[in-house]
Amino acid sequence: MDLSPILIHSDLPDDPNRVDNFSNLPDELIISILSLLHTCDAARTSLLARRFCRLWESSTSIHIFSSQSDKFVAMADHALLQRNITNSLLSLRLSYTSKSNKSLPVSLISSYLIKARNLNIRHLFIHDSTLNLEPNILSIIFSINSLESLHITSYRLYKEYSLPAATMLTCLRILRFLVFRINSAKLNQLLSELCCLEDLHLETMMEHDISLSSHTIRKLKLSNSRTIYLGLYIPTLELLHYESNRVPCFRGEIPSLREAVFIFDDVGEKDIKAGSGLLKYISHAEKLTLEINEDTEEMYPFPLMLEPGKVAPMFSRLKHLDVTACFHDFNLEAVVSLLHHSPALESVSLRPHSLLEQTKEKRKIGLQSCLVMLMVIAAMLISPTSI
Amino acid sequence: MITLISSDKRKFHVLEEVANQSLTIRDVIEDRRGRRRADRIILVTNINSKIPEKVIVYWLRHFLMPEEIAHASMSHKKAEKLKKWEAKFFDTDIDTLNDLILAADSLDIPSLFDGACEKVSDILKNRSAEEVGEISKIENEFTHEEEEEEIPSENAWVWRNEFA
Repeated sequence: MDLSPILIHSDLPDDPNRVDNFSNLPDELIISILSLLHTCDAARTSLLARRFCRLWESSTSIHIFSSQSDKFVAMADHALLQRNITNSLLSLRLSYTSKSNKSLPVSLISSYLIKARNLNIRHLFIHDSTLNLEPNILSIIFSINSLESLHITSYRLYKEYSLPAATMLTCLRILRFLVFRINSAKLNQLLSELCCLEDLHLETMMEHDISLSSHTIRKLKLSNSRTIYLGLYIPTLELLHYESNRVPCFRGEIPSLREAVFIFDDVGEKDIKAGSGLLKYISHAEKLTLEINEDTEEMYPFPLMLEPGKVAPMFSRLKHLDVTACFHDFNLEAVVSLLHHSPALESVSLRPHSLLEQTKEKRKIGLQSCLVMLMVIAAMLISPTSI
Repeated sequence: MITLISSDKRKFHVLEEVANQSLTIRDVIEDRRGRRRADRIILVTNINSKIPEKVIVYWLRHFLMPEEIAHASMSHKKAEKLKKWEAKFFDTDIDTLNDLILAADSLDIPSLFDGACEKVSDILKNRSAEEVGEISKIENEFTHEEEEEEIPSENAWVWRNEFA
């Protein structure tokens, strides 16, 4: 039997008098630090010592960030195009934020993407306010079959564009699409082709009536402003984050939902009907976060979450509730009703809107409602079983 | 109970469940399960006693709320608290951070490794080569000509000062 103590050590000699902070780290560890830096910062370390001259070139990530096209091109040329194919590259981040409206040539972007494809990158981020998502750029991106996550931000897109087939993206787990407009039929086509997508984030303009279906998505974040009818047919969905300036009418099935976050800005009378449908739709969630910013120009206050006199649906699994709103009478009634119908509740946080910004009258409403709310919560804490 | 021994021969006793956060230690324990107590002594060379102390503090903090970090189930308050705590934990001199990186690498503690690397990279961000050299105390071994001309000309785009 082996009785010697187990030895764990790195291969370096132990020298208590050393002064140098970095030279005692092995190359791989220095490279993992350099990989966290912007490529420009990482490249500056080449002047530190002979050992550092070529070290930054092995960094597993390239992050090029510039507003000047000549600098951007020089960086990309050295760091990406001249990169040795044997140096593995995990992530490529291209951020080009030009103040002028001039975009980088498509041929240049294509050459970067083709090089990235040859290097088998896993994470691709493109943030370019001027980039036109030309079909050939998209078709190169969609042919990188080693991709695990893809983030595209591009706002210069006024016409509908076609999405190429995404059947090559067999490893893609995370997709973030922050684009000007997207067609829902094309989006659904894309979702059906991505076989292991787990996390989808869309910030875009879509039609009034859309429905999304998938069998793999677990996390969905949507921000859009025009949708009135939203169908979600995603049996695997666990986390839903929805941000918009109107409340859509939800339909479809999301039975595995655990957490829901809704942020609504400028909601008005038009949203009343959809608002009460919303609570019913997500009544099986464990954690619910609501942030409601009402449009005070319209008839105010109005019952958004719950029509007066009606009872809230049963929230049998709700454990955590977080509401940010102005607690005027209607909202107050809705929240009280919600609390009464949540037997499994463990934590509640209610954040009234900053009262100072509002008029005196509303401030009075806010303060009154806070008091009532405190009483309700106190009652719940004292006798949680009786409610 | 696991005993860690640092290079200056100090002993640290840790609960097995806590030390399990090191994948290296976990594998070793798994390998030797059911053997005598003497096996439960782990010698960590190259690391002075200051570092195991810090590592154990880190383990204990994370042991109190394990694995939840990745899940959405952790409340925002708890997550924020942990974040604040970590920021304070990593707010230390670069020497200690380096030792932490070494320790986290050899003991295989991914979250500690990532946290320490990130902190070091934050320190180096947006600094000139001279500043970085000063912080890390790396001896400049280039000749004057090399420093002035050869290396900067190799990738000129790096040295232009504007950064935006």
